[in-house]
Amino acid sequence: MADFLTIAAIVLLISLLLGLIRVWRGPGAADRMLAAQLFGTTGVGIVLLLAVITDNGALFDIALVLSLLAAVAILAFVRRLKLQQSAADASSLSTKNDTAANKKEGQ
Amino acid sequence: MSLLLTIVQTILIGTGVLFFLVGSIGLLRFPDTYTRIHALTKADNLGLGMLVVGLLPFANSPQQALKILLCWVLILAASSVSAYLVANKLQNEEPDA
Amino acid sequence: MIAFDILLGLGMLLAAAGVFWSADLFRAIVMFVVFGVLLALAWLRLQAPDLALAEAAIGAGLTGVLLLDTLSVLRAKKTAAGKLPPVDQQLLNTFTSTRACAAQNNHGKGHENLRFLAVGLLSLGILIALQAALFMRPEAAVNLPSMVAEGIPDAGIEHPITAVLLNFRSYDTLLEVAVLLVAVIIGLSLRIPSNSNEQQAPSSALIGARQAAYAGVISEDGGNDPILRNFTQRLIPLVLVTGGYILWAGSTMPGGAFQAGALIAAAGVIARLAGYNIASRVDQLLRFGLVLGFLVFLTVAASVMFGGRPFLNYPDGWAGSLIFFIEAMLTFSIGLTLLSLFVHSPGDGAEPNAKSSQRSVKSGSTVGSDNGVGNRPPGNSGKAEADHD
Repeated sequence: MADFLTIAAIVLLISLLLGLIRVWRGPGAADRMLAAQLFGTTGVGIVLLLAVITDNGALFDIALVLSLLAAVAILAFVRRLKLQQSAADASSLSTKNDTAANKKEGQ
Repeated sequence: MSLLLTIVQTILIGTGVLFFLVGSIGLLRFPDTYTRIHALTKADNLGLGMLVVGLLPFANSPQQALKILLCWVLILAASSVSAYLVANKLQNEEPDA
Repeated sequence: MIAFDILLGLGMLLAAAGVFWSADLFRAIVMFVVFGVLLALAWLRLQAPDLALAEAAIGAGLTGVLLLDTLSVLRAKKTAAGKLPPVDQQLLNTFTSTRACAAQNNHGKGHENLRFLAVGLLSLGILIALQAALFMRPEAAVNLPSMVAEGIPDAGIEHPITAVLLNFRSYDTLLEVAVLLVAVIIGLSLRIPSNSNEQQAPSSALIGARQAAYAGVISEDGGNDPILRNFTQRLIPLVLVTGGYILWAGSTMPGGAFQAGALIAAAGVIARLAGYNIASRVDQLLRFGLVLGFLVFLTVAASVMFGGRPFLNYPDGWAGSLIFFIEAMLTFSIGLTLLSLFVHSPGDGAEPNAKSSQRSVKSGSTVGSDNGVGNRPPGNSGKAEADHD
């Protein structure tokens, strides 16, 4: 069973790292933030698996703390940043990705 | 009996992990932000949910089991609220949406 | 498990590269948040659950929020950038478009490549030296883990990390708390010059732009959003209770004052983000609360000397209770310290003034006077306040 759980943890880590691509590509700020949200959830899953694999009860506390604070970053994003401004920011930076982002957001 | 339990656990954890993977692939493949929110919530609800149920029998004490369940409930609340908030923000702030 | 570790290490490298490679600041921040999650996992794999807990609490609850806040302020300033004095302008440029500046400064492409090569070689050299140091390290003269294990029965506390932090090496922790206190005092005093500066040279256009920017930054109906309000109303007590639990757990398992303090600060941050006006309360508590932990720690440390013991040497049988008492006070102070860094950061809308007495009246009308930087429309904040009470 331990082997199976380890494989499960590895697959979760892979799915987490796939999320990195979405953080990098965007295009919108909301997409990046959503990917970060997925990181939080998957992180909780991995910590739970590790807790069972290493048989260390203390790790459940870490999973608990992670899940308590899962929404904080997205709360800050929603309450403090404007979407349009990200477009203005990006245009001054003029990277290829971000101009593509503007087009997409404008649609 | 314990064999049966192991099989059920394996199936639950396997499906849960699969949902995480599907969620990530959805996040990558879906065309716009709204559909990506949809993909994401599958990972939170079903992926973590099945994983949690599958891991429950490993808990050493009822308190620990409650802690594991609480993780899932909290993630459910966080993901549904943030999905709503992000969608709401997009709706309000996107010029042509 | 080795495959997991390798993958985790690669992922951390990718995320770190993403932070530095990204020209878009928002992307860099999200990458940093993501890096925090991976870092917590790495601490777990290195069998340092205490650090993982601290990283989970601080990384997920505070640093990302602070960075996002800073970004919102930078952007608001940038919208008003035309009106800024040249120095500020320059600063802004460095912060918001590093790459654009680099492109301007850099005359030839060959020059750039040479610099990359030099930095690359230097990094490679350091990497090799570090690896060599790791493989050729000398045998440790003292076996610290076994010494800690021997000392645990007398430490008054079961968890070795807490025993080291608050008993065996409590001197270090005392000084660390002092450093934290000094840091936050400096942080708080820095805000006053910047305020008065703006008041001295107010350009009405700038203020108007900032006001508009802030009004937009705080979404208009946020305070009234029922889903947000219900969610945070249930979440905040849970975070606080968990903070208490983590403090209590610190005596037998990973946890302790720093982690619990971070959670308490996170609860405050959530409250601020949801639009509850807790700032006035923080202001009143702040000065007392910031020093409380250090004061109690120092008092305990010094008062044992009356019994003829050395500084910081707990009396027999008292160590456990004294450590817990100190930790509880430290939790409060650390929580307030971290929270005040957030509440008093310019992005938090409700600008703290030197004359904060104005705001400490619990009228709930934060908006107004200070710098024209309103937190949110008066009706909302008043309502949130009323609901909260």
